[in-house]
Amino acid sequence: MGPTVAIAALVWAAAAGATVTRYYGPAVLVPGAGGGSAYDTPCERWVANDMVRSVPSLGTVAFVDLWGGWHDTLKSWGTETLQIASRTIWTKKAHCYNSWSAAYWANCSRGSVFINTCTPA
Amino acid sequence: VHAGVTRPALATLTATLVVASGCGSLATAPGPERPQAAHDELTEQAIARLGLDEAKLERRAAIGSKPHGRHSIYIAPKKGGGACVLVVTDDRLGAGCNPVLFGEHDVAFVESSQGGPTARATTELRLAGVASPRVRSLEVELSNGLRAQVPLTAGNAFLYEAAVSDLRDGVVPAALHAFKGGGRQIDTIPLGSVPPA
Repeated sequence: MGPTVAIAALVWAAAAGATVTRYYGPAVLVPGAGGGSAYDTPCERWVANDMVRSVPSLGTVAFVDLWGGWHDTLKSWGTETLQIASRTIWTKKAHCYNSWSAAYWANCSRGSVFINTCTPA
Repeated sequence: VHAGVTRPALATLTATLVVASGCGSLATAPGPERPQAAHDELTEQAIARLGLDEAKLERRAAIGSKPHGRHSIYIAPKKGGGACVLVVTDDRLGAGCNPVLFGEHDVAFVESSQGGPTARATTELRLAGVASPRVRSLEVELSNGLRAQVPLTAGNAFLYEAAVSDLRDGVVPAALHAFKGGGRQIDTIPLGSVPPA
């Protein structure tokens, strides 16, 4: 099941032609478990958060602030959940979470944009 | 591995962010720091990222008004198989995809929220999506056991906005129930768990 998830993520990256980096998986997420990325920076902001799962199920993606608060959270049924946000100039990490009742393979990626005139932190 | 930004829409978004950000400052919370992106810009990004068949993108409804804005609800097949439901507002897009849109369930939906992860910390929560043609009515079951009717549009799309008073009490949607003609229940979709406090 894992390779199927990985291939789906690669297709996503190729189609977008944008900056996409996997931050979790392919790996098994048990119910209530999640995976997270590093925090973004003033020069590269996370704008998209994508979770691909091996079986139809409930999955959740969110951006998490420095205090652990969740924003732009999205849950859906199926094998993929994608959130794209346009209010991005705040410090965040991408997070994906198994909100279902069974374990599944997951592959989570974040998409980013580069901020050309930024001052590195 | 980072590739160059080649999609025109994403490049436009990047340029807008640069102008609006006052880059270099380390902002620490989300805020209205930039003009709202257009529905079309976000939709174009999703079409590319998900590999949707743009020619078959079908808008089922545009629901909602201020303060939270219009929610455009779409369905579209993927070029490589599968299908997605998309919910687009002025500043974000959510998509849920499955090999068969109404495969296991008669409702394709996304639940968007702000301010979690716990129920009591949630400040906004919406359920939106499309029900299959055989669904005639829809109800949301809340975590306190109460149920609320969710109106369906002519295209069988819907938008449910959680009451702020419910969220303050930690009450969130727990399940969706779908009914066909005559009021017979044909589907229940548990909406899963939220992380512990």
